Amino acid sequence: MARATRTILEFDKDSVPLFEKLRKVLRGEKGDLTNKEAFMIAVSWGVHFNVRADSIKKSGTGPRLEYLSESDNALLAAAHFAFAKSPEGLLDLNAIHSSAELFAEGGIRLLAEEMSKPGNFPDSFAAAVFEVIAGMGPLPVTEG
Amino acid sequence: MKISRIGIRNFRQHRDIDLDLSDVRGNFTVIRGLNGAGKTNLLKAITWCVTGDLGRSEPRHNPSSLVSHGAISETLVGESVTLTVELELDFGGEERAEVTRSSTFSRVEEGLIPNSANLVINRHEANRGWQKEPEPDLWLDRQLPRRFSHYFLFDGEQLEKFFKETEARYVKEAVLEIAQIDNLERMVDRLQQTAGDLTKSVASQRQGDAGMTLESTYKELEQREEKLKEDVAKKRAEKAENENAIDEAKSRLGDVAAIQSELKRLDSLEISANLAHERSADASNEFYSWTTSVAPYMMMFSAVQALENEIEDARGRKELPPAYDPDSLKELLKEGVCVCGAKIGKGSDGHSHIQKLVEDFSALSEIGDALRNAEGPLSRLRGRFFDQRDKAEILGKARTERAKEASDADAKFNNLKKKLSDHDDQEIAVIGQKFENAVEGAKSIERDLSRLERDLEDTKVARVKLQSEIEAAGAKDAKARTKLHELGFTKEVLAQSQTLFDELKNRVREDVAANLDREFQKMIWKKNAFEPVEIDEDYRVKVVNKLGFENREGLSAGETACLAFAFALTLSRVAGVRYPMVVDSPLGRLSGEVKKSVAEVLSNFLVSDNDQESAQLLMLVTDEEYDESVSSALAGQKPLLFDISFDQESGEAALKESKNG
Repeated sequence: MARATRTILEFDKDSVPLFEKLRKVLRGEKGDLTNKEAFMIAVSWGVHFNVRADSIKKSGTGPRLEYLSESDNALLAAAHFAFAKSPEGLLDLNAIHSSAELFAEGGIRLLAEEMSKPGNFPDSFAAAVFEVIAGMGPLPVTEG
Repeated sequence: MKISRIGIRNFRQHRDIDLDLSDVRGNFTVIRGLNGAGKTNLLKAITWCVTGDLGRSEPRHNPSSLVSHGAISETLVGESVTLTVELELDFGGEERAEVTRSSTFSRVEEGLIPNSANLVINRHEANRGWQKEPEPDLWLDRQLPRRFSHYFLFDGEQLEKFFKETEARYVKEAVLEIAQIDNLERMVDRLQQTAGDLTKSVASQRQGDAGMTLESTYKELEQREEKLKEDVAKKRAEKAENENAIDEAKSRLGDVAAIQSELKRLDSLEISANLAHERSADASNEFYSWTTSVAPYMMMFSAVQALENEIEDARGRKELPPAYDPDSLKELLKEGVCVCGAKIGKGSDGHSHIQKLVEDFSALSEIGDALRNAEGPLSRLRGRFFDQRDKAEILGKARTERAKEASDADAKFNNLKKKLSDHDDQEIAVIGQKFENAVEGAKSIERDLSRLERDLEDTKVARVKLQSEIEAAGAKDAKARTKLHELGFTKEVLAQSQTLFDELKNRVREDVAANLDREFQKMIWKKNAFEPVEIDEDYRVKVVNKLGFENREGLSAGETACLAFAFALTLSRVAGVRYPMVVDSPLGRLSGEVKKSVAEVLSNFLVSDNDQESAQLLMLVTDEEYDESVSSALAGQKPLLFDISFDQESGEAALKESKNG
């Protein structure tokens, strides 16, 4: 597997204020969201709605890789797999990270649009999450 | 006496009511309806028909206020409108009477002008058939005298006023009226007047200035005494009015106290609402924070599933080892043990199979390695988030419930706030001031009254003294002797009449008191709680408890109701006529066992214990009053039950016999 050549996952330069807004509007366990939490949410939105930017303008701002947990990395791998459709893609860590940035950009645009609508954004956000939860079905029985 | 039919046209909300109570069940009728349905106006219509006024709860009324709005709006300017109340009275046998009171008004631009008022009574007697009564007012007053009709036609909410000290004059009127000795009282007055006239006559027999002086002095004393009597009566009325004002202010101040207590409740509701909002905000925050924390996994669920499927496929492609770690499997093979714990000997099929698996996966592809790296965390994520799905429902439900609690708390707070928004500190201050003024006024009235009563007594003594002087002087004058003789005779008759009147009055008063006590003690559920009820010389009803304290003011609402019913029953007994009783909200101020007990008292009221004569009771009640306990307490009497309702659109009341009767 190729080694990571970067230290952060970057927000698009133009989207930095949007991430800032998302951090303030949604609540984390300790108040405002961290960069990493906002980034992971944006990625998941991009993946779920299959919206991935073609490119991003580097901003130098974003979550540091060292803050990503094993689970975060697994989710980012799943995100990249959703795009690459091939397990070979998982061998390229840089590609996984780039893919995450592009999905994050796609996701933050969708979230920004939602945030700009009248009404309670956290409620519509929660409604989208609950819709997915409702469609998850029963817990798969794992063997072994 | 029984009211066998009630017909009402255009009386307030009663546009056209016809109530047939001729059946024996009509002896006990219950009319049930919401507040404002027209129950009280039904009572007022009956009272108006019998007495020409609306009773003590509405002593002064504008006659045109009796006419129903519907009738007014249907009457064109220049036309007339008539309101009528008809009562059919049944006296037993063939003796009956139809009492019809009506008032006609002319419609003008500004409203109504009274036109004519009529009372027509047609009476039916055996062998005489129907005949028009020539003196309807007199006849009606003889049947149910106006001076005590309010003890039979009354608003139960006003019961506590029945025996207040200031109401003693009504008790006196009723007692004297019922014993028919009020004429004797009038005769005593007349004799006193005659004695005065004779005294003046004797004085005038004296020659010259001395005679004139005596006569004019006596006349002056007489006039002064008369004037003082009027002043005392006025002052007593003023005292009664002032006491009513004190009571009203007290009751308003009671309302103020209630408002103040409600204001305190409002504060506590505000605190509750704030707390509910805090709890709701906490629940929302917990909900949002949880949603945010699970969002990445939940939103990527499909992608995660796709990767997990790929891992399964990779396992099929043998790019990934089985779920068991190959190194561990190698250890097990060395020991000849399967993953399930069974012994597997070297060379056995199982041993060979596992050995082959380990060999196949010993050289994993780079892709397999990458997938294997993802497999563990994904599997842990899946376990964690699937477990958390239940939490979604719990948190969502908690959030909704907390929000509803906050909204309910807001509603409670806002409702009370709205209710109290009409209250006005200025108004409270005015009521307080009125109360203080009335209390201050009471002291001054009391002072004035004592002074007037003292003056009256002094004047009376002076007049009697002068009368003696005139008599002494007259005795020396031959001309005066005849008048003096007449005066002596008149005074003797007066003294005997006065004695007779006093004796009768006292006897009747004591008789009424004894009857009242018997009925009251029979009705009251607290046995041996009270000394015998008395009516003192000033006609104040006295209820003394066993500790020896005057307790009439301290009687509970239920005990007051019993005292009132006992008094009405007593009047019936002394008069020898069972008058019909119409009572509005007899149980409105009562609750629980007391309500049930009073209902039983009312039920007993219907049964005459000394003869077969039946009484009539017409009860006007709300649903709350006529609850299960009352209904069962009265069930034995099988009441005729009507529902009364008010139609907002037509502005009319309607009566319907209840099927549940």
